[in-house]
Formats: sequence, structure tokens, C-alpha cells
Amino acid sequence: MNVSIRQEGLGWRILRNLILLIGIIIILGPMYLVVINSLKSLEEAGQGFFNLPRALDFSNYAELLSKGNYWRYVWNTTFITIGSIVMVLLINPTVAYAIARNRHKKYYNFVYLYILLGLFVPFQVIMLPLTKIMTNLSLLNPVGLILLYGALSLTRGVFLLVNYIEGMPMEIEEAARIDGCSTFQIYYSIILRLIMPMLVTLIIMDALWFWNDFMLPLLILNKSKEFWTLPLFQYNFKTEYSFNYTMAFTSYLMAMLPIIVVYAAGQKYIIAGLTEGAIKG
Amino acid sequence: MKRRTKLSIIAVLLASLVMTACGKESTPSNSDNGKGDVVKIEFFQQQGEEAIQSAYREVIADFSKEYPNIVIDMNTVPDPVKVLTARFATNDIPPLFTDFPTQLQFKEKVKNGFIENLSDQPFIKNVNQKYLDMTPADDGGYYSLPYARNYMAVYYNVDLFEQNSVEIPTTYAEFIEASKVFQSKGITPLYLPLKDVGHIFQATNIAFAPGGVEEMAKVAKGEGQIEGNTVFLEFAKKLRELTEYANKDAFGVSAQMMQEAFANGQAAMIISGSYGRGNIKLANPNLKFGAFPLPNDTADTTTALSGVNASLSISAKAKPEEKEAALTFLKYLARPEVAQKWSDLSGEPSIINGTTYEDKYLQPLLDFIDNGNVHDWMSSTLPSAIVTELYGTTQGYLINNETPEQYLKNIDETIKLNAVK
Amino acid sequence: MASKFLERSTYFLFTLPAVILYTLFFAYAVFVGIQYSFTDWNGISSGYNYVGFSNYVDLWNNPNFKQSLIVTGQYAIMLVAGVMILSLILALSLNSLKKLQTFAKSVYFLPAMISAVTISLIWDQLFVRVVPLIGEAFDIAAFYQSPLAHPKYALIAVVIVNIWQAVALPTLIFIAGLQSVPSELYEAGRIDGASTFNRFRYITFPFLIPTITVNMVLAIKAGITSFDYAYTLTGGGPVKSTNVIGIMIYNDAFQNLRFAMANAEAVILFVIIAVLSFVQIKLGRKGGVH
Repeated sequence: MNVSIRQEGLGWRILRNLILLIGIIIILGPMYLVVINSLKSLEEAGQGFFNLPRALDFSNYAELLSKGNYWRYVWNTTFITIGSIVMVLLINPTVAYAIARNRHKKYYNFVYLYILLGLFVPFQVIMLPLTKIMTNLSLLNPVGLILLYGALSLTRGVFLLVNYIEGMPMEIEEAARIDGCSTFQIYYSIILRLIMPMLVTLIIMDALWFWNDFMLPLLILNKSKEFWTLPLFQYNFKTEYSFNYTMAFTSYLMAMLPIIVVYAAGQKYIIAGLTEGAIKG
Repeated sequence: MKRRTKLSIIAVLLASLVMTACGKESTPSNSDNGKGDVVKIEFFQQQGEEAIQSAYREVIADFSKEYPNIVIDMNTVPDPVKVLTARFATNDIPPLFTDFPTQLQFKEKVKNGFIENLSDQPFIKNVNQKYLDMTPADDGGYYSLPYARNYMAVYYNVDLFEQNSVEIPTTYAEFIEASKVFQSKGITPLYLPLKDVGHIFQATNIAFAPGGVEEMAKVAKGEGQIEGNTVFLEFAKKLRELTEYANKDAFGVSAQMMQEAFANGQAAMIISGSYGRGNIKLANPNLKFGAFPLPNDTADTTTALSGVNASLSISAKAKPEEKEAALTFLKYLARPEVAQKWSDLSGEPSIINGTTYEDKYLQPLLDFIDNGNVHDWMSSTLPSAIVTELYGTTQGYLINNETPEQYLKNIDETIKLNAVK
Repeated sequence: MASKFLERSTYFLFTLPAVILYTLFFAYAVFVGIQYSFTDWNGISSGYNYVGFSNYVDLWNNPNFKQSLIVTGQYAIMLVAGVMILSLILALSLNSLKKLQTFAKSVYFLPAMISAVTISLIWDQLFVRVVPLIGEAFDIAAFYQSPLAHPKYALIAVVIVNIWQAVALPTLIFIAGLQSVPSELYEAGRIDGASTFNRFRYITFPFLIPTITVNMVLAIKAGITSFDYAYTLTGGGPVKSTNVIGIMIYNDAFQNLRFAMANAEAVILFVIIAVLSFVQIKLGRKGGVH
């Protein structure tokens, strides 16, 4: 008996490690090729695509940075991501809390279903009307995009948070109410804390969306390069420079770099945050 | 307070929802910096190639020295054609933009009153008459300043031609002969970017099937058919034959990869648009390359694809001071010395009178375009939806090894399916 | 008095910003989008007429639209299958890993950090530059060119790139689901002599059903509305083999002067997603442990 378990375990462990190893190669392999080739000249890359660079040649990086606006794009993307996350935090948990505690009332149930309906709407339906609305409101700029992301974040946010809050016991809130806390105080000092795991999950998912989104920035921020985000810069590079592919690799790396730095610094929290919310959700 | 403004915005929107039509009066709010009399206008420039962008940048810098109170803010975005359409659709038209005046799309914009009529502007007379004649809208007026011509041609590697003592072919038979010479020496004769088959299709169709575009336009109107057309059959066979002399990985190669490969001497010839020239020069400044028209059976039947490049237009919806500023800029651009500088920097052949083009290897092609048979891009005659759909049809012919007869049938079907009813 | 009023309307006020923003930027846009689908607006003309269902009728008769639906369906099925199977295998593998688990998890989540555009551009280069080398080295004719060059392989290649990124998040969600299984149950199973497979089938799997539903719904929607990968990698080609609906809508709206038609296409997509999600959620409710 004992022996058989151990044998199974061993076979599984070998298989498992093999799977994981192959997976890691498939993920890191392309990254590796991007990094080494970004450090080569076109000529050198032509001689050996897989070879390590002969020397650390940062001239591609220097040229890319000298083309100006890279830092501007990093700043814009950061500003939009952070601003949008603030919007998410301001409007998502409040409405979710109100709905979760009042589902029996018609208005709140309506709001819930109204917002959930958005889960089914593909972006293509609203693509142009949205652009039109933003034009009419003179909001074709980063601030407008932040407002938009706030609105568009609601479907997922409400979906996840309402379920989560409904699963939470009422006792603490009731006790607080007896102690004379107002609804706002309860929300602010109790609920926000209790829903933190799910909120963190939501923030991470939304932040990745805002940071990496391509289509909305293309439609909303096309008035001036001053507004551009990294994905726009990246896509544009395709027409401008892809005849020089080591340069293109440099641009891929530079486009990824900020988020990878953030990830490297906080991966423990990011992964724990996502897992935490998912367990309880 | 804030909430109230939001609410009133909603009220307005809900009201307009009932009345269905909305957003008639929106104006681009570009000039909010009220400092003095400085007018800042957006210049939506469609050509993303680095050489062209930097040429415009230089010229704009010179302009602002002369007109310090006008700021031209050049804006080049990814996917510019679609973004510009979206901006027209949302009534957010850039005050100054480049567009393609010979295309049906542009004429549609003119018809709807979106674009300023430039017919009475004196600077229009600075444009080479031959090209100006390609651009009038349906009402005969000129709505843009054509600034350069473009073409599809064969670029050849001068050194490779000289080393193998190959002459510039002037007939299709010579072209194949030359390709065979290169092939026998282990040099890729022709590097084709069949992932971006579109312009290859246009160039070969116009070269090998004179009058073909007009035939297709007839089909779009419900008259005639391509099936059984011997000229088209000839075109289809030649197009197939070209791929036999092409790089093995042609179907995976994009136009930019082709430019890179050609710049690095990996092929003797490519079929490229004039827009590729700047990139090739950037990728390898030392490469000597020239151009000749893709030849048909005889020199007399050879037709080059050449048209007016992106031209500059002004939005009819712009504010008066924005129009004024844009006009000043166009007037400046139309000066021969400015056009010359722009042409030198961008590598694009200018069509402003009084400019010259300094590239002896390209001159023969430009002479041919000036004196020989020339046909414009397809979307001047056919709706662009049909043209782009034909790209896929052509790809299918080449990749799936369909018979030329089948290909012609498919062309008919594609045109009929996408014709405007 | 005022504070009492405020207290009573707190919940209502809590809903207000969300409802306003959502109405303005979402519901209203959906409404307008649907409205356009009943017109003949080409996107540029200054006026348009209402044409009833004629756009929908045209689409019904349009072989390109049908072909695009089929491609989208294939895309979605391959994506969902690939993502579900791989993320489940990875989650099981990662969850049972003792050493280096944090490291492995970080690597596996890395693709989720990168934008679809960047990922597609990288893979495009790899497909062109690496695959032909493999083809030459092993003399496999199918690999002489980038797989994106073949109508047969292009769709699979695009889906593979999409999966490369899309596996990350479901894997984490599955790991979370696995961690919610009480360990006593495993102990009990082990004492009863259940095999590894049976332990998975009867203990782990029921606990995973809710997370499977979540992952499925997300993957199906991602598959059906996909745009970024195919657009950047192939633009819909070759020979329309990767022309998913997302691309067709985008091209019709902004390139082909068929704006109203594009909206009708999008509305059909909306209906398809709604039906599928509804069925999914219904099925998901049937079994599983909450």
C-alpha cells in the first residue's frame, strides 16, 4: 500500500516537474531572445539569432530614448492607470455594498442587474458611440479616459464585490450599528477592511487592463502624441522602425520594462492578492 | 456642484437620445492656451515612416521661425486611416490633415462638406498640373494640396546588377531572364512580402493587366465579368510566375521585413512603394539602389502605378483662426524651396513646380512616370472595401495554388459581394 | 435633521456615482450602438436613414460574415480548451510543488503583465525568424515559413500566442480553488486508499466547479471578442483565415464605410455572448461545492 502510493507520487512528481520546466522555457525563452537581440546590431543578429551578444551594446536603447517621448508615455500610462484605479476604488465598493445589503429592494436589484448586463456587451458595440460621447463632452484626453475606465470597470467590480459582500456575516455591522455608527462609518471603517482581499484582486486585474489596453487609448488619446500610452507607442513603432528588428526588440523590452520592474518588486503581493480574492470569491 | 454639472450633462444627453440626432456643433478644442495670439493647430499626418515624419518636423521648425504665432502640432498615430475615419464619424475633424484626394472615401468627405475648398488659393497653381488633374472632387474643385507623388516600382540592387552584368529589363521576358541569372548564382532574385500582398497585387495587376481596374469597376457596377478575360489570365499567370523567383518564406514576410532584407543585400530586386525608400536608406545608408517600372510584355504596354501621395487638407469645420493658420502653413509648404527641402529630407519626389529630385538611380523611373503610361491606385476607381477584399482573394490564389481560372472567378465573386448596393 | 436624511440616503448616494457614470458611458453608448445598427450610416455622411432590419438580413446572406463567425467559433473553442486544460494542469502541478513554488508561480504569471500588442509583436518576430530555422534544420516543409503564412496554421498560431498569455490568470484562480479544498478530505481519501485520479475526481473536482465556471465564462468571452492578437499578428489574413468578428467589425466601421453594418455585427456578437454565458452559468449552478 505504502509503496504503491510512493510510486505514484514519484511518477507524478517527475511528470509534474517536466511539465513545469517546459512551461518555464516556453515563457522565458521568448523573453530571453528579446533581451539578447535588443543588445545586438542588425548585422550581429543576422549572424546568429540565438547567440549571446558579443558585447553589451546599448546603442539601440540610446537611440530609442533619444527619440524623445518614452518617459512621457511611461508617465501617461502611470497617470492613467493610477487615476483609473482611484476611480475604481471610489465607485466600485460603494455601489457594491449598497446593492449587497439592499438586494430585496427593487431599485437596488435593478441597479445590480443593470450593471451586470454589461458583462455580456462586447466592446465593439460601444466603441464608436463612446468616442462620440467623449468628443461631445470634450473629454478626448487622459482625464476622459480615466472616467471611462471607471465606468467600464463597474461590471466586473460589481459582479465580484456583491457576491463577496453577500457572503460576509452581518453580525459585525449590526453590532456597530447598535454602537451608533452611521452607514458611512460602517462602510469606511469596517466593510472596506473586510473586502480588502477581493478589492486587491480587483485592483490588480483592473490595473493590468488599464496599463495594457490598446483600443480605447487609440480612440480616445489620438489627438496628440503628448497623450500617448506605452501600447500606442509600441504599436506605432511597428510602422516606424520594424525594418530594423533589433531596434524593434529594444522597443518591446522598453514597453514591458516598467511593468516588469513593478512586478519584480511586488510579485509576492500581486500573486497573493489575486489568489486571496479568488479563494474567497 | 460637480455632481450637478454631471447631472445636467446627462439630462442633455438623454434629451438628445430622444431626438436621435446629436453632436452637430462640436469643435476640436485645441487652442485653449489663450496666450497672446498664438494659434495652435493639430496636423494629423498619416505617414508613419520615420523619414517622412522627420522631414515634416524640420519644415515645421523652419515655419515656426517665420511665423512664431502659429504652432503646428504634428500628430501621427498607429492605424491612421481608421483613426481619421473615426474622427470624421465623431465630428472631431483635425483642422489640418493629410489624406488621399483621389480616393472615393475622400470624395465622400468632400460631398458632406467636411473639407475646405482650396480651388481659389493661389498656391494651388504651384502644383504640377498633371498631378493636380488627378485630384479634383466631383464638383471639379480642389480640396487638398497634393505634395508628392508616389509609385510602385521594382527597386534593384545596383551592385548586384553590375557584378552579374545584368541590364535593367524593359520587357517581362527580360525581367524573367534577369531573375534566372540571379537564381543560378544563388541570389534571391525577387523578395516578395506576400503577408502584405496588397500593394504587390495592385502593382502587378496594373503592370500586367492594362485596363484591368476599369474592368473590375464595371463588374462592381454589375456589368461584365473578369472570368474568361484573357488579359487577366495573363496577369494571373505572371503573378504566379513571379513567386517562383521569390524567397521561400514570402508568405510570412511583411513589407517592412522586405525592406530590411533588401537593404541588407539579401535580394536583387523587390517590388516596393516609394514609401519604402526612406526605410531602406535608414536601414542601410550605403546601399546603392535604383528603380524601374515593372515591365509588361513590351515597353509600350508597360504601365507604372503612380498616384498622388498623401495631400494636405483643411477641415471645413475648423474655427476661422485655425483655418487661417492652416492656410498660412500650406502656402508656406507650397514654396519651391520649402518643398525642395522636404523632398530632400523625406526622399519623396515632390510635385511642386520648381523642385528637382537628386537621385540618378531613380531618375529613369521618374522620367518614365512623367512620359509613359501611368495608372493611379485602385481605390481611386474602386471602393476601398473591394480593393482590400481582393487582397485576400489574391492571397488565396497564391497560397492555395488555385488555377488562374478559379482566381478570376473568385475576383468576380469578391467584387460583387462587396459592391455598394 | 439633515444628518438623519443623509443617513437614510447613504445607500442611495453610494449607488449614485456608479449609476451616473455607467449610464452615461456605458448604457447610453450601448443604446446608441444598437440604434445605429438599424440605420444605413456609413460613418462619414452627415445624415442617415433608418432601414429596419436590413443590415441583419444582409449579414444573414453574407458568406464573409458566416465565415467570420466560424473562424471566431474555432478561435473561441481552441482558446477555451487550451486555456482550461493547460491552466488546470499547471495549477495542479504548481500547487503540489513544495520547493520553488513562489518562483514558479511568478514566472507563470509573468505573461499576464505584458500587453497583447507587445506579445503579438514579439511572437510575430519569433514566428518569422525562428520557425523557418527549425524547418530548415529538420527539413519539415510546413515550417519553412512562419506559421502565420499558412491559412491552415495561422489561426492555431494566433490562438497559441493568445493562450501563452491567457493561461496565467485562470491558473492562479484554479490554485485558489485548490487551496479551498479542506486537507482533511485528502487525508480521508488517502486512508480509504483512493487512487490519485479518484482523489482528483471525487474530492478536488467538485470544489473546482465554481472556479471552472468563472474561468470558462471569462475565456469564452475573451475568445469570442478577441481582436488584439489576430489584428496585430495577421490583420485577419492570410486569405481571411484569422478574420475574427472583432477584426471584421473594426474594418467595416473604420475602413469600409459600413459603419451601421459593423454595429449590427457587434449586436449579433452581443446576443451570442449573452446566450452562451447564460447557459454556462445555468450549467455551473447544477453541481459543485460552494
